[in-house]
Amino acid sequence: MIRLDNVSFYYEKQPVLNHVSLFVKKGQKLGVLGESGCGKSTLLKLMAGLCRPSSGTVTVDGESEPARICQKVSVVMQTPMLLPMTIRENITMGHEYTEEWIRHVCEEANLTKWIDTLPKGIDTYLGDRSDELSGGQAQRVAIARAMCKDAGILLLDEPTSALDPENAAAVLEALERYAKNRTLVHVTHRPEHLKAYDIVMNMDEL
Amino acid sequence: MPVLRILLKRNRFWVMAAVVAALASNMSQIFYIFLIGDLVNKIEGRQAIESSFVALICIFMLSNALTLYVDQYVGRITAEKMAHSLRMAYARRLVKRAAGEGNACDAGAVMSVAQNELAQADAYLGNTFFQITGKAFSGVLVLIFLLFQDALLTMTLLIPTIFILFYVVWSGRRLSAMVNAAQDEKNRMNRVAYGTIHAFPVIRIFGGEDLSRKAFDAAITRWVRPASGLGRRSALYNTLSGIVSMIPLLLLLLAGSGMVIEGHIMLGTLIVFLNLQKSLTQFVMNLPSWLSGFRVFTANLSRIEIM
Amino acid sequence: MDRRVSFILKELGLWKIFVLVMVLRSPFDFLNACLGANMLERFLRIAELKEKSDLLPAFLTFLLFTVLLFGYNATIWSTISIKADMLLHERLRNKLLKTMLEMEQQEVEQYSEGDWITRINADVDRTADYLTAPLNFMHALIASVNLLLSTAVLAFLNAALLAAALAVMLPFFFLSTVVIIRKVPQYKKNAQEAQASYSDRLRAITEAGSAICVFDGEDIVMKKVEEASLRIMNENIRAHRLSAWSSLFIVFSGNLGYLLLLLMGNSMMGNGIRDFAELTKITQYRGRMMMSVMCVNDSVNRMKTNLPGALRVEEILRMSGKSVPAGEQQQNHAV
Repeated sequence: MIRLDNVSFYYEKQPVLNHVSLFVKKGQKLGVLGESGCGKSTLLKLMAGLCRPSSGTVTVDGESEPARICQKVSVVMQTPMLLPMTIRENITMGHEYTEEWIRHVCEEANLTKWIDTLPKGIDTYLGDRSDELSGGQAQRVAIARAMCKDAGILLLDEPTSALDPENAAAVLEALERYAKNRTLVHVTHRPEHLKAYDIVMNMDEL
Repeated sequence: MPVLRILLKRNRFWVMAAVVAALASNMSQIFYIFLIGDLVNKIEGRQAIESSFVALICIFMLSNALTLYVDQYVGRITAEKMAHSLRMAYARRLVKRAAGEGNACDAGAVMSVAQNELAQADAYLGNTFFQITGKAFSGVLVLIFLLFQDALLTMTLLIPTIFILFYVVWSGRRLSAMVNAAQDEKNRMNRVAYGTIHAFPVIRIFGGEDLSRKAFDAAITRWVRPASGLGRRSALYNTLSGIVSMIPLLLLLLAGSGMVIEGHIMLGTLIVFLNLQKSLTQFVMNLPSWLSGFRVFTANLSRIEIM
Repeated sequence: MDRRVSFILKELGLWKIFVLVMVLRSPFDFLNACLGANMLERFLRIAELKEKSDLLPAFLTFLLFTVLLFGYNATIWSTISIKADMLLHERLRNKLLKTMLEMEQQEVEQYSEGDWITRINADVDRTADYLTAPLNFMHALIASVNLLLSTAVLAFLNAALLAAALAVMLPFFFLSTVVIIRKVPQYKKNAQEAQASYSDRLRAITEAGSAICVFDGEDIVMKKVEEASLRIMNENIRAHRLSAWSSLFIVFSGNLGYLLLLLMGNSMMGNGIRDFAELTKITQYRGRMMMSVMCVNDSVNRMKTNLPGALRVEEILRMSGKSVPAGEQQQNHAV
């Protein structure tokens, strides 16, 4: 469950969001549309607990403290934001998971085929290979990371914006399959990505 | 080298002036010290010191300071004129290419040359080029002067210095490999830091703080090893360098004092050697680093297209 | 030491080890000065007294002292100084990253990614340079100790000659380093700004190549480039002129002091000064004293250039990040 009550957000004294209220029930899918700079990424950051509202309250699964909200959600950003570490560390972020679960999320994120071609497999270090990593592969690692956390809420911030159409379609399909019984918030400027969503909010009209 | 030749040619008046100024400055310094040697002989011989002699020393002391000023000023003006010629020649070449071939210049490559090769060549010309040529000039003149004063004592000073030169080259090479290894690890450590900064939101959401801290800690530990090794080796080499660089002076004092006792030279001559020995030994000992700096400078120049 | 830098040391728990390094390294320059002055005195006295048999023992003695002195320095340097330096790098980098990781996203976003990496890398290097690099705090301290002790030795050896040396040195030093050199950083800054403007004009050439071609704009573009390039040259020349004046006064003061000491020493020979060897020892201490003054001055200037980096580090250390309970993830599939 995500609830925003009369939330405003100011960046360097300029209003980015003004008195926004919304409610997303557990398992619902919310699509957020809008052009660049309309505040949709800020809205997502608030829902992810990455920033504190200037006024109003953000509640996610009963938590309103940003640090606690962070623990309730999983995110896929526009850029994969990979760390110069192994694929495994990038997926698990240092937490202990069973091998089966890691293999499962890699499978779900369409990573297995590529990983199997690597000499060190999932323990391949990404720091020195970032140039060899395609945008699609990197974003799939980010998706596997989001799936691995297994949070009840998945937040997507234009996860396919840097990908070619073929890769974008595959990535979206994987994400939507994963998000079937979860709460999903998808921020995008492309309405065609939000066809099957329960609620679609257009930030330009706010 | 062709670019340097062009720059020297375009500013030949200033280059000539700088050479004359360097010559005058060094000659005046040598003559001043020669007079000091004479003064020491008079003090040692308990002779009367005439006021005309003191006035002569004062004149050379003043001329030493003034010619040094002219030397530094004219040398630096020459260097700045050459740097200006270089900047203008590079810009002229770019404009010609742009006018002749339309928008054919790669902005990234041009800016990279401007911020790296051109800036470094500029800095070298402005701060180092004439300083080093001045010191080299001084080293050669002092060597000639000392050889005329006493060839044997000059060799006593010069031969161990040449051995030190080999030591400096050897230790410099040994250290450069370690510097590279430490730099590689430092770059890796910075990549981890940058990755952590860049992926901060993801780290926060996925609770990767511990992982990042451990990865950075491990990267630091990996860097500390070669960096400490480099520090320890530098300490060792610098100690040896400190000790061996005292050897020419000690030998000069040993041989020079012996020659004074034997009556081969006057005490004043030994004082002249003591006052000028640094110009000679430092010229020889710094030769490798000057040459490597000069090689980097000419390599930078060769990458700047001006023709 | 700037109190904000000492705050960094205290915050990292390195205050004690740095005090130890300071204490152990501080006598080096003075001991080196003593070695040099006594070595010259000894050899010249042997020459004056024609005691040839003493030459070799003197040579070996001073060689041994040189080995011992540099050996001491290397031991202190390689065991304690490097350890302290590495600990500083290690703890400071870790602490900065830890502080950042404990901050909220909004606090982190106050600074750009480039700014953060500069703080964690270059600014830590500047802080370490401030404390341990050549011609910075450590050298300023070592040179200050040498200055004080060399002055004391000179006062003990011959107070009149010390007074003469100071009378010649201080006005020129003040003129050279305080009055003349003061404006150099401003000229250097102006030259850097002109350099940026020159680069901008080069960028304009690359970006407006076709316009230059179509409108025949070669001359106007080159005129603009020349303006910027001439400004770089003129500002640099101004700075060089001041540096040349500074060198003039330093060299003149050095030579004048030496000459004055020789002449005054000559008149005191047998009456306050034993022989030329002792006079040479005095001139050596004066030389070292003068070098120390220059060294302290250069070190203070370098410390000033490194201080802003250290302050940027200190700014982060003073930020009280709110601790985030990490590791309390939902881990349905955790081991």
